[in-house]
Amino acid sequence: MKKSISLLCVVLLTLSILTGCTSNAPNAPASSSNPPSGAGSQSGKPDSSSKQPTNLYFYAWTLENNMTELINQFNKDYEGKYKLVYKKLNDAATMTINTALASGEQIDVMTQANAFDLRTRADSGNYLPLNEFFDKMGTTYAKVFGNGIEATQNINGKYYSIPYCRNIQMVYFNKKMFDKAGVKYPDPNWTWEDFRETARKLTSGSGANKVYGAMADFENEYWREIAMQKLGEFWFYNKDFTATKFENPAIKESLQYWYDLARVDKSVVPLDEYKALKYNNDTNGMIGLYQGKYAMFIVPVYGCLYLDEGYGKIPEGTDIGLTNMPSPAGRSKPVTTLYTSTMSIPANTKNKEGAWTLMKYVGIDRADLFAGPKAMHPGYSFANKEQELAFNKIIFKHPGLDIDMSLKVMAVDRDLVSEDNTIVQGQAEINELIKANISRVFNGEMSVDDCIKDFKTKGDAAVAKMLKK
Amino acid sequence: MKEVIGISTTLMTPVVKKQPKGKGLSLESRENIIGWAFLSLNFAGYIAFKLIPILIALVLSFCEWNFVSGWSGIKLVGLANYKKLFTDPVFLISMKNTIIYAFGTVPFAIFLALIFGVFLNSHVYGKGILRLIFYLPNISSMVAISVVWMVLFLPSYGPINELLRSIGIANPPKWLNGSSTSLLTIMMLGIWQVLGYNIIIVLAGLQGIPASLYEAAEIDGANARQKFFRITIPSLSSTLFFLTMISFIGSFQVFTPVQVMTEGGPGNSSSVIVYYIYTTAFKYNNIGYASSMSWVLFLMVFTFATVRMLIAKRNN
Repeated sequence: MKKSISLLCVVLLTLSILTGCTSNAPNAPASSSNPPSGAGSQSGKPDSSSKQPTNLYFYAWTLENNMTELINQFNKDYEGKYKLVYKKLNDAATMTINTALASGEQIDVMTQANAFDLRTRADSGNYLPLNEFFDKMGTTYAKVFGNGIEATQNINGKYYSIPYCRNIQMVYFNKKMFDKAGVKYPDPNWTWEDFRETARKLTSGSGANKVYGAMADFENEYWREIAMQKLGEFWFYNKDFTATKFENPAIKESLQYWYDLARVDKSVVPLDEYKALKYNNDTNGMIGLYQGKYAMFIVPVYGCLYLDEGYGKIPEGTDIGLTNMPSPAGRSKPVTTLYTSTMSIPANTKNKEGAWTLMKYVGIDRADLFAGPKAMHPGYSFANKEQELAFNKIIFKHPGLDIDMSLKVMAVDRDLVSEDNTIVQGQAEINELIKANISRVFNGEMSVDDCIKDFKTKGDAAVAKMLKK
Repeated sequence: MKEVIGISTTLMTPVVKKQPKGKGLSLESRENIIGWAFLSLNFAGYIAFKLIPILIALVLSFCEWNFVSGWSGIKLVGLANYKKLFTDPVFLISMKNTIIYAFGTVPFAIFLALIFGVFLNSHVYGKGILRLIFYLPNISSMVAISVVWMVLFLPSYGPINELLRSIGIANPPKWLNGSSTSLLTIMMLGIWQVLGYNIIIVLAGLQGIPASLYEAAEIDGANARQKFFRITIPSLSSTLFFLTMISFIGSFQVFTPVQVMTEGGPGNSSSVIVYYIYTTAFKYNNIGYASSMSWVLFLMVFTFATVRMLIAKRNN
């Protein structure tokens, strides 16, 4: 009897393990004509024998309740033909998306937030080139998305993604803190020197009670802002991408500026606090602004998304203002940088046309239903000011934000420089080198000059090594 | 072979034990089969989730592969990945930091565990509470602990530096933000986190030492120090050996505090092998190179464990 029970337990355990190890194919409804694809499946025609709509699988990290309107509208507009099935990713991390792509599940449109990852996936053959779709539309990539974005998305003459949003870098500020300090609100055409002066005036206190003039992720992103504004796309590469141009004075100027802000003026939140208090999380960043930890917050436009009760107590009235990113002196119009999040069609999609239809719908036709609710501008260039204003009204509709000021500032004509970098020559090594050196510069362990020299020497070596391969 | 139970006097032939119908196996065989059946699940899991991936990693260490490109993207490159290790400054720093971490935390953690263990094993009030307090870090989430330590060790106004300033140290260390102190801070966290577990193991070992040994030593006039070094330490040698092995194996694989607190910085000063393997494999998709580093780590730990065991065997 005991042995029979033992044997039964063994059998049950084995069965449960085997059950757990079976594949987890997406639950397609009975009416679907599209079974999930396995690894290495080829794109094919929709099942014409069935009158049911073709499922199109869209993978992104947007919260499901923010997708409801888009899903409903798409399914309504394409009723009987296509059906949008949304699959939420945990996050936009490289590994998350790579795992999804390698899983063999049917993915018709995949999103990503990192240009280097896009390049890696394109080179690995994961994505379909989209040139034919633009040819069919009778337009060019540059006409739709602008020259800056075109330059960064062009991979050896082909385009493997379209941007679904432009994350334009701006400055949110706490109006109450400006009023209390008697400082005028920033002019949208202000310069970096104006920013420095303003940050100094708004800095006060010491220790745990210190209030800073500004907060920005200057270690990872904003230390290079001036360099990008002056040098344009691919700011550290030379013209033919055979070497770096770290010796360019604009790069030293950019690093020196932020070094002075952080270590001389001490008017920006220092690195140690920034990391320990998790200000690199945009939610915390916005909370810190309206709780009065600092007066200015450099962040893309979508920062206003976190002015929401879901994230915590929001400011009253219109306490949060918006202004442009400061520009180098002597410019005729403001300049700022942007980065994009993009969408691509995996090479193993079963429905190329359907995937493109979905991608175009999300990124171009109805960007107001995807990018807009996320407080992001669409990837394409607006046709006119009215269209831009209508979109801005969707973006800036958040409690606590001075919407009139925001609409006015956003309407200012500005130059945009794309931060995206799809060049592979040494980029991975250079990014790691930048990360290592910049942290030491802002800790006071490395001088700006030594840092730049090291960038130049090792950067050129990394590019040369890659070209040799 | 059938069991002979007697000789037939009539037929003068051996009489074998007739097995009951339908039961061809002996009791011993059946029990063995059941035992193997229970073990087979564990073996299957070990083979599927440990052994096969280890062997695949060995193969991949001789290849260049970005897993997003699929199996067809694997390119054999021979020893190129291993050769690259010798000239990769980040790998060399990470290796150095890992060794410093291991040899810096393990002896110290075991020494402290011995002291606290002896203390807790003697007559002290609140023994149970104290044991719980010491053990709590070991069962807490390392991520949560790391985040709290980041705030504690804030150079600008963290409690620790505020305390140091209040006692007259004008320029306290930068802790996690200094190249010379980031690894040290992570080591302190490592010692603090593992101390409770070490104490529990030492206590278990101490309770196995017969009290008669101490009584006999006392009769012979031994003092506390002599008792500690002549009785306690030798009696705990197997426990300490076990702790050393486990602690070194664990410390060579340190990852979470580095990932959460410093991301290997500033300037790779706190980068460790496992963190570098992680970024190489999952941030830069260089699976082949990451596999070669993994195998170097495996061989390092394996060699250490083997040498240690041989020394222990020789000593025994």
